[in-house]
Amino acid sequence: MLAALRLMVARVRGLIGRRSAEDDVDQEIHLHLAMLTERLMRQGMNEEEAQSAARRQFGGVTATKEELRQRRSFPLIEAFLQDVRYAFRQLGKTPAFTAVAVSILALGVGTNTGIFSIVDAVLLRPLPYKDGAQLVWLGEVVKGDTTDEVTLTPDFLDWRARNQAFTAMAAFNTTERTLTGSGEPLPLSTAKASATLLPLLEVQPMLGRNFRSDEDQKGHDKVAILSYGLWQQAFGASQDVIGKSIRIDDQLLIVVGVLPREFRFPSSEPVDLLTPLGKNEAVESKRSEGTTIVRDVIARLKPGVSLEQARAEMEVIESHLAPPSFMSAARITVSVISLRERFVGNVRAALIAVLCAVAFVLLLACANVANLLLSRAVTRQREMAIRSALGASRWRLVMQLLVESLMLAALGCLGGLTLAFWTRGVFVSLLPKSIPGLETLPLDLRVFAFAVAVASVSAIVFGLGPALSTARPPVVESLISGGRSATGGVQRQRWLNLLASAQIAIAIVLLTGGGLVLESFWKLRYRDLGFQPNHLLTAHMQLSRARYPDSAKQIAFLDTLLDSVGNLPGVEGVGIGNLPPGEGHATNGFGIEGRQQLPRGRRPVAQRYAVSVEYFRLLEIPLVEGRGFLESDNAAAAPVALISETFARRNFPGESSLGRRVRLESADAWRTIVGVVGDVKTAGLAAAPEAVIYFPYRQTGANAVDVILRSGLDPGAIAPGLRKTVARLDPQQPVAEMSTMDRRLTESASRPRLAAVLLGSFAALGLILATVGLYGVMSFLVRWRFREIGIRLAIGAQPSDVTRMIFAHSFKVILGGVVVGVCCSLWLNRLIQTLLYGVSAADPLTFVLATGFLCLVGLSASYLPAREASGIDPITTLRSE
Amino acid sequence: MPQIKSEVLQGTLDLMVLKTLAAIGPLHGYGVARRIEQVSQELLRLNEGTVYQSLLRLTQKAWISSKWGVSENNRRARFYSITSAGRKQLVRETESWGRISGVVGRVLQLEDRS
Repeated sequence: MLAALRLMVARVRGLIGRRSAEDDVDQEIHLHLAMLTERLMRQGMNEEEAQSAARRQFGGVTATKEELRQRRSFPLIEAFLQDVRYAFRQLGKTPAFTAVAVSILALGVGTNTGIFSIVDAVLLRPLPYKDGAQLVWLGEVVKGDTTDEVTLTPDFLDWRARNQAFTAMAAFNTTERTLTGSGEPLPLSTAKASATLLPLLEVQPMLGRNFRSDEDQKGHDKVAILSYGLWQQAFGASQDVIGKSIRIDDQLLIVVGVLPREFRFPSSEPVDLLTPLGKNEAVESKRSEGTTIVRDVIARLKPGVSLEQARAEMEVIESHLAPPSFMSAARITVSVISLRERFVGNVRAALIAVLCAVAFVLLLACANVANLLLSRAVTRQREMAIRSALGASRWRLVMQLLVESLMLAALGCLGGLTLAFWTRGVFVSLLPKSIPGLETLPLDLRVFAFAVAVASVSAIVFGLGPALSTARPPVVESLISGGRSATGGVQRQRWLNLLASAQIAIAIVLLTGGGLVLESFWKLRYRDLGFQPNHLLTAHMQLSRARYPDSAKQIAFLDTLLDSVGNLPGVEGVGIGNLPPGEGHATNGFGIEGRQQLPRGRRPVAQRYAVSVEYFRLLEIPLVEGRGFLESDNAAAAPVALISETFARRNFPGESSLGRRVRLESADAWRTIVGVVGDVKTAGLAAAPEAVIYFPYRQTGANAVDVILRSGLDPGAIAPGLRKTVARLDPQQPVAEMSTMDRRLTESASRPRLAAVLLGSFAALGLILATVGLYGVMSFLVRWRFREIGIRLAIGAQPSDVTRMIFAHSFKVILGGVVVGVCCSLWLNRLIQTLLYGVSAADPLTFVLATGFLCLVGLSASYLPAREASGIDPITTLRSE
Repeated sequence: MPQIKSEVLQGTLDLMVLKTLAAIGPLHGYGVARRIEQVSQELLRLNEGTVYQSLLRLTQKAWISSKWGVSENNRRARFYSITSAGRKQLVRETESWGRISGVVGRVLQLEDRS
């Protein structure tokens, strides 16, 4: 063992000191021969005789040297290093080839590395909590009434009391609130969370303490924990903020703690302030009309308990829960998923599809480089023949060619890493901001190792075929013909055809996938919105319940606001109202006059929008029937409502809805339906339009509204005016950041946009690579057939015949690729099924367009080679042979 | 001329080189070749190149070491000398050689059954 190690060390040393050792051996042998010669001359030989006798006695000088060289270090490594040097020399001799091949590889490796770094950060790395894999999210699906996942508070309390699977369970609700009392009112995103939440996440406040369990009870919940950011921003990072009282929505809260800087609240939006959950548990447990909900429930699995076991236990517990008096039991199911799934479940499919797409792009890049290598093979036939004649084995030649590929891949890998580094920002900006792990997207050893692995595998993929094909020199023939022979190319031609068809097939897969996703995105984002989003600016306002407790106060404020904002410069129209596309689903139950009045929970539901008169004109929502709201529909006039077409269709099938009366609460007055307006996407872009009921805010009041402005200016130019106007009317009233309607839509389509932009651009990239590749193959094949074409022309073929022949050839190649590609796409597009909206995975139009386009592109790529072929001068070609 | 290839012959040559260096002291390759030729009374005619292979093998096993010096006729030459590890090895090898040659000798003395 030791001896083997020592030998190893000696050999490694031999490898390092290769050159000087070589010189030493030369000297030693030279001296030996000289001394032997002298001795033989002393014995009476003349110099010439002595020299040759000495050599005989020594044995083969070269053979000995070679033998020593091999023994001194590792012959394979030496050969490899030699190949590396040779490869660099070869690559340096053809800089154009090298540059093109390296750029193509850099493109392939770079896109893969960039996407991998995101997949790694989002899907593979642990959540930013201790033992994050043990965290689960729970929610109830209250079917029928809504598809939102929320949990009834009494159910949460029962889960917490009865479960055996979790070490702890916590609930929270996020809400928008306002910090006042120090300068300009500051809108905050806050969360009401169980006292168990922070211990469950194994997070300690950086300053102060966590909530006590008694503070979870309503009435004892006047305490708050600040986020690090809020502490810095609003409290100047002061240590003595603990114990101070702050004013949140006209409520005084005592600050008891500050969260650590790295803490990330387990919801999609960052949270500035935590307050206790604050439920009245005695009232909740009655499961009566006073029942409330919690939006998120998080729990930590006990060690050794699997997610499936926990799910099974929760289903049993759920089945034993008594339903609230106003709900029927069978409708409620519980969903138990890992917290990671909750965070990233909705982008996983998109990321995996994109990862597949970049893998295809890499394959295309490899095909292109293989193609370049094959065409180089022709010019290197002579070199191979010479090396082979000098005694290089085929294996040795293949090795050397593979080393060349490896060097190309290494350069491509470097380029790819650079590319990935510069383009990451673009990828990240496309992802929804709610995904954890992207703030610190690392380009670390893992990503680096991935890039190296991808590049190495590529080197084999694109290098092996050409190497095997190049290193098969018909020695004698090549030497005689000087490498210009046209024979022996049948097999290589088959290779090339296969390569070209494969590129077409991959391009088809990319193009149909990208096309389908783009079409989905377009439909989702631009079609069937039901309203017109251009030139609209919006700003959300939440009126304080304390200062605007009743509808009269709300109406008065909103009336003045509308008048003042309408006079701002650049504002062409102003309205208020709730805006599509909302986040949640319709939840407001209503009753219809003259029908059976169902109990709460069984009533039909609709979205309830309180709007101003101008609302429909601003959003260009068409009036289908009846009349719109009028200025005269105020608190003094008879109560009125407008309904959406879906509302009318669902609740008044086959009859007119005009003049019918509806109400939301049994205490409300009946409202007369005066008109029907077009459907809009109220529950997110991907969901079908829901039933909507519109009220004039002047009759109902409104505490959460969007101010809607029509203006050609951008939001930055209008926002200060709006803010000043609001501040003049009520200095305590915050206004959320102003946005354009377009941006709102883009944000709510962020997942489909991710898939669409990435898959679309990779499809385009794939198309370019396939086109270049096809052009390369065709022009190469034509050059290959120069002599054959020359003969054809010489014996009477017309140039047009030659053109037709080339086109026929490329058409065959394209057709093969298209057939394979379409089959693969049909099979693979199941992967992106969940990313599609309003279009089938086998959408015939997309397939026809993609294949047609690709055929066209493929045939035009053959145009130049075909023209070159028809222009061949037969005499020159034949003479050159 | 056939090259010395088999393990036994390689081992034998290594043993002879080692013994030569132990007996005479630092020596260059040419000297080792001459010495072996002389001792064997020119019965063993080897390819002198193989001496260098043997020297490399022994160096890699750290049984001998080498140093550049000046030869008797004032030329730069590499002198090999035995190390302490080499001496120990030589003792072991000599013993086992004695044993093996004894055994082989006895076997070869067996009379053929006719």
